[in-house]
Amino acid sequence: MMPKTLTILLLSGYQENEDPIFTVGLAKAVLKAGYSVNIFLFGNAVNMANKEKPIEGHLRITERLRKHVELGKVGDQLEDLARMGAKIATCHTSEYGRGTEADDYREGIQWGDVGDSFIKFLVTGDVLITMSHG
Amino acid sequence: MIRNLCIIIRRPKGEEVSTSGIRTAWASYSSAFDSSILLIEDGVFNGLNNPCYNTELLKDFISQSGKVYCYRKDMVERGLTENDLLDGIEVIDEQRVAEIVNESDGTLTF
Repeated sequence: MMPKTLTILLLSGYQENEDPIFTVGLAKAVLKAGYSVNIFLFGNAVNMANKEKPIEGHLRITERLRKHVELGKVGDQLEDLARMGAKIATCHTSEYGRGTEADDYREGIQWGDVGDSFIKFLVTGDVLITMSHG
Repeated sequence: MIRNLCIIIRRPKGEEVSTSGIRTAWASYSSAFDSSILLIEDGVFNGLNNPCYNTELLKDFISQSGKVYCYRKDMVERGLTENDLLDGIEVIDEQRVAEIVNESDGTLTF
């Protein structure tokens, strides 16, 4: 019997709220329990799809602030989820609107769109959650 | 056929999420889902004839027989009437909202 699949529609990106942190935690727990996970990055969430560009020299951020900000940077964890089997795709229109469509993707994150990628996630998913901050 | 309901709670213009909701409803409808849209809270403003992309896509959705509902209480509380809404939008009360959500296989909130 095929394991059930959770599809998550994530609408928030780095730092704006805790939805991305909750999402990766939930997805990790679901995968560890033997189920499958789809994550569709929509709106600001697409900013987490791309590889970070290294900063040269002094960061000009205090260590205390840097540690605080790092808590919200879950991009590496998205790659972990992909390695664990999660399917992760982006909305390229959201990327286009942010000028990031041509940027390199993190390992395991796929270019995608609402009309095809997300619809496939909907069709193959058993449980659907929208992670959106009102 | 999969029944998919997109609930729009954000206003149009300046709120990308409302556009994403209507786009998602349109995409799923185009993929043969039994897709519908429910406008609640500030999402009811999407039902007006605003000159913007949301309105254009909503009109396309309605013209292709897509179902669009507007929650009466939230509409009235914002000083709007049925006459303010685009043709084809059905204004509904609590009981019908509950029925529509209950009848849906998947519900997405934008």
